[in-house]
Amino acid sequence: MLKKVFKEEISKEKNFNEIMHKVEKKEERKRELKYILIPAVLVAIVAISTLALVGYRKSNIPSNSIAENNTQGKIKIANVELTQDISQDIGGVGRKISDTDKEYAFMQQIELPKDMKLSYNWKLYWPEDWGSEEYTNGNKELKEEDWAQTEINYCSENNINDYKSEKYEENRTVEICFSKYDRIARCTPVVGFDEIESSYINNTELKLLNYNTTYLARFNYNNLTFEIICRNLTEDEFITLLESIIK
Amino acid sequence: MNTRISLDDFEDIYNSTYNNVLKYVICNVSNIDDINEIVQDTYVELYMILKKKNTLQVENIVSYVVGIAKNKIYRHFGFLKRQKEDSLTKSINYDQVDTDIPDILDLEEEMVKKQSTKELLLYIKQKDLITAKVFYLYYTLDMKLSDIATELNITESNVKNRLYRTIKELRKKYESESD
Repeated sequence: MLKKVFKEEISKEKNFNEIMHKVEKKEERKRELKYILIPAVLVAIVAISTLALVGYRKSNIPSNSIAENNTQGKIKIANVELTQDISQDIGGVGRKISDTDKEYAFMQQIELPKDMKLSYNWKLYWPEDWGSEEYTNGNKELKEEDWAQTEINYCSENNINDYKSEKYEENRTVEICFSKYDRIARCTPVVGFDEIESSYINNTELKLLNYNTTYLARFNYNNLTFEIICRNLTEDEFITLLESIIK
Repeated sequence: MNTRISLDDFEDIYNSTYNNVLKYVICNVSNIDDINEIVQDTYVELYMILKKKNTLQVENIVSYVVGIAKNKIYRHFGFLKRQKEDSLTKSINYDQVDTDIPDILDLEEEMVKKQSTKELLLYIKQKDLITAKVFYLYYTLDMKLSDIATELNITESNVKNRLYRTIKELRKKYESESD
């Protein structure tokens, strides 16, 4: 009986169907982008030419997000593709904690969709020479004693808060990662992050991007460096969360 | 010897590599809930590569696809996250030999129906990661206990004990709920 339970949980056939569905969604997105881009470029050319003719200075390019709000700032979410060879692996030693909320009061006021529940909190530590050849070629690895050491011996501590949806089958997750240092433990498979146009919420600059069904935000706020990843949430829910952090 | 593959071969490649990829993902994942997603994303990436390149020459297709899975795991979790087992789990000695381990490690159908598959899976997923992985490898891939022990770098009796004790807990839970 247990075999039946597990084979239904990890079903070869269901996975194949889901794979083809994801492929179709990806291709549909590419087609949509093509149909949006060409007319958008033409419209932009006409607009710029018109503005130039009447002597106005060029204004901001309209956001493709619904969250444009003059009192909050400009929101611009870049759509990107993942490519394999640009991921940067950063690693560390992690341990579960339960008191991130107490240490960082703003976590008590974040606005998440009602179906999201906290899975776990992590603190992540890594040594200064992590990412060096010795680690990446396997000559050195993080050990028990590394984990046991205090922050002082490490260059960065990251707090990671993982939320999962009660609607298990919808696979909605939120990861809120922040650090006192300017480095984040998570890696993101995107190159040229600096080239993404900045967004602003309450005068705080953010870089926002979207790939597949994932939204990602990077920003500095209140002397913390943030990286937030939302999977299978709507754009609305993603922006609401950001606005509840950046006040 | 190199093999040339194309998009037409995708379904065959999926069927022939699935078990190896699933085994790798189960053994290396840090969150048991992400198994399906990582497996799916691996093959989506393979599909997109084959579509872009038309044909691909690979020395070993299984290693190639497992390599994509490896990258997916790294990117999915973003970093090497080593979970520390909580103190309760650490105090359980799974290597201690149990003399009364039954030959058949399973639950009766009534027990499964009583608890609902969701509750059952949740119970197993809430165990420590190694125990959850043992269950997934044993019941999803029909792996031998000795092979599971090798993959997870634990002893065979450790594997057996984890299975047996968890099933015993589930039986007890079912019996107490029936009362």
